[in-house]
Amino acid sequence: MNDFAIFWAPRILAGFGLFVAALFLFIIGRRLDLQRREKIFTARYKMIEQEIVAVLYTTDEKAIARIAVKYRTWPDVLTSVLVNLIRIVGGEEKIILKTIFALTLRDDLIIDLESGNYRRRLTATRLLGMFADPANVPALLRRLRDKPTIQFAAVNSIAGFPDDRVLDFVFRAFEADPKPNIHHFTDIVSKHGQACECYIREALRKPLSEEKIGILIEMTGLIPARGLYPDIIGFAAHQDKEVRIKVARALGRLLIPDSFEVLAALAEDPAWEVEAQAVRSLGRLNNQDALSVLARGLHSLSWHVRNNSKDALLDMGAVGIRKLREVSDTTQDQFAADMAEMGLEEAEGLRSA
Amino acid sequence: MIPILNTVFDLVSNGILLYFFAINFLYAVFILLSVIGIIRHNTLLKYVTLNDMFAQPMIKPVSVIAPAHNEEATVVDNVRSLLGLEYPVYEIIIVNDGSSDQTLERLIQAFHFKKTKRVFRRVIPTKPVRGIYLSPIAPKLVLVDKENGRKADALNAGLNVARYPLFCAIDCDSVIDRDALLKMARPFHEDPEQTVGVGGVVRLSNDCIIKNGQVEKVNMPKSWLARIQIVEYLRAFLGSRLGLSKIGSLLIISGAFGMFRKDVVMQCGGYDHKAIGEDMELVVRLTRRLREQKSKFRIKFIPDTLCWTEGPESWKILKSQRNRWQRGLIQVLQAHRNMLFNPRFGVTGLFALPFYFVFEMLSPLIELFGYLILVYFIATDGLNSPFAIKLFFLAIVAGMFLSLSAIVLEEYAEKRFPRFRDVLILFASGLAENLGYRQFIAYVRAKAFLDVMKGKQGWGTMQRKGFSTAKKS
Repeated sequence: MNDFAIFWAPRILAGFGLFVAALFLFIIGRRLDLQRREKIFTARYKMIEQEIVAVLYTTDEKAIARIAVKYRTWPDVLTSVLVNLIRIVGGEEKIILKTIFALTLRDDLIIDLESGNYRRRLTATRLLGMFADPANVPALLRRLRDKPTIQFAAVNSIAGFPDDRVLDFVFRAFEADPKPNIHHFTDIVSKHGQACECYIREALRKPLSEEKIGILIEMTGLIPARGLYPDIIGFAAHQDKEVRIKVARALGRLLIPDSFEVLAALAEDPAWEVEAQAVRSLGRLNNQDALSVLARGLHSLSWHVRNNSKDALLDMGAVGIRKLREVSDTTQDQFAADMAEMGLEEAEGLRSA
Repeated sequence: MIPILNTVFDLVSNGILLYFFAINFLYAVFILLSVIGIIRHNTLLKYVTLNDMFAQPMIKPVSVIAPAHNEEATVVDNVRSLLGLEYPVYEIIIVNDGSSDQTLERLIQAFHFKKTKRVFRRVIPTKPVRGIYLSPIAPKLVLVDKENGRKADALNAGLNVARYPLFCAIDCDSVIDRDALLKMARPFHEDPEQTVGVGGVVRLSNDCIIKNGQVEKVNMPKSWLARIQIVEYLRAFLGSRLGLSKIGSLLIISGAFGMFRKDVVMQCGGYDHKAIGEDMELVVRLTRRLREQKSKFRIKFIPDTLCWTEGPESWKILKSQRNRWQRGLIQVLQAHRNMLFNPRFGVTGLFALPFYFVFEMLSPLIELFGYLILVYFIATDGLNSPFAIKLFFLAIVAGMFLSLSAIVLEEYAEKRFPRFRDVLILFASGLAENLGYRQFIAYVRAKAFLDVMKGKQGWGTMQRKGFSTAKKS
């Protein structure tokens, strides 16, 4: 055996053996440490929870301040208690929790919102969304340009503020954003509902990009803001296909009887995507004059138009089903017949369900 | 002549040692990256609940596509477990891929499926679809009965029928955690523009207690073969794939459970029905296409266990499974060889594919070659050779180090084995893995090269005990 084998090999093997033992001990040690920490956490959690629950049903401001002073040195436990409680309480109790939050954690979190540390920014965004007031919204809106996970948290936080002042910030940010994310803004707006109507109207009157107009029209349908019907109808003849699709979709959600003519015109659009959306919306409108348009849709070259026409006829109930049967029995077009038969079968399924 | 031969021999020996050093070094780096990834993942989920997703107004519905081929023993239980998944809106598409057993009949009987005249767009060509069935008692279920193709063909048939913007490809014989769809879909909602695929950790369900289609208690399998595979899976998923995803080099999302954006996959033409490793092939092709289009995209890996699958407990089946995986890898790398070292494909071309080529595809050949030289040295010099000792440390001891590190990663990730006895068994499995098992797998994988040259295409069979015969309470 050479020197290396004689001298080093046993030592390396012994070292490895020690390493294995150390790893195992590390796992045991870590588990014990975690258990110990969990015990301490649980004890503190119960203590804080008891005291906070006790003040939730009093208006003793001094008691609230006392809790804040007492537990601000245990921010993790306090945060957990507050987060868990705010999910289950409402009204006045929520305000008390927000007060404790403001006295203990808020200031640090506002600083964290601009921190270079990703985790801190994310935690701050989430917690401020749960506890803070609308004054923090501009700072949260800045997080819409952060990393995706933080953007998502910011959207949820902003959407959660039940205050109309927030919308002013949101729409200003929307207009200023060179490339707004449709998901983010529609999520926020759909949670605020009808309160957004005037902001959308105002924005639609501004010279915005086609992409932004499309998002605004989408928002109109999502709310749905029927009062915006006159504002969006003009876009039905827009040169951009995406805008026309969104108008067709929004009209299918607003369900304004007067929109029939517009939708019927869109159902003859040269772009199949617009046509498909228009026939779907026509079905929801439930106007019997749409039957012929939808029957024609069953013969379209596009599968999507045929499929949506079938769904639209099903939406129209008995008259739509009669039309499907008529097409199924009389047409020579195999594609239309297949689609109509599938519709009839679905109708049968719906009835039996 | 002999001095020249000796020099060549020395060069080759040193090359092999260098190779082992490099492979272990890279895996150690991935493990470090994984530690960071796991810690970060755990902190990022602080103060949120998955149920928040139910409140999202724009939640993306998911089509779960489960191909089934000759799975009469388990298919009904598995479909029942899929019906219990938590997600606001989803459909389950079971694709009976020309089973020759009672798979179709069992499904029809259990869920009262009725044949429909449902019309669908055949965007991706597949083997003929014989019928589409709907269940009046479980409206989420769609059963597609088609002629036998491969798994990829069945997935494509499911894709043609799928209605929703996200799809989740699963193995019908796997157990999916109830909240798996919520966890998988989260990245698609956080970053809807860029996320195109998400994968998660797959674990072995051998000897676990499964109740109502869910893993209720994680047990250590009785079979040492399964135990070793547990460590192997931990190293592959937690140690390697998570680390690779951190540097944008993830090229495999397990076919047992992966979620994708349907529009992007459809644009790529769906799964390659000729591919043996259709899961990896899809991810490589997606990456290729998106890089060619200069699109920004993300393929994410989340270190949560989402799916449980039964690992082989016989050497014969294990051999067939690993042979297939290796053939799949060779086929994918061969098909996309022009991406190798091609700067046009960014990190994929310059690192990910070369890594898979050098350290995954070629590893069994180099490893076996190293062992052959080792045998030669021992035969001629006994244990006098420094090469033998260095190889022992670099191939065996370093391998053990990586396996044990993966067990530590599991401690940070989920701690699914709470008993110290089980941790000890895992340690023993991690050590044993490198003493015989790994060499056997290297041999099997090396043999796959011969099978590829012979043009072998088959999948081999995977006999499963099924959950009904697995320990069940």
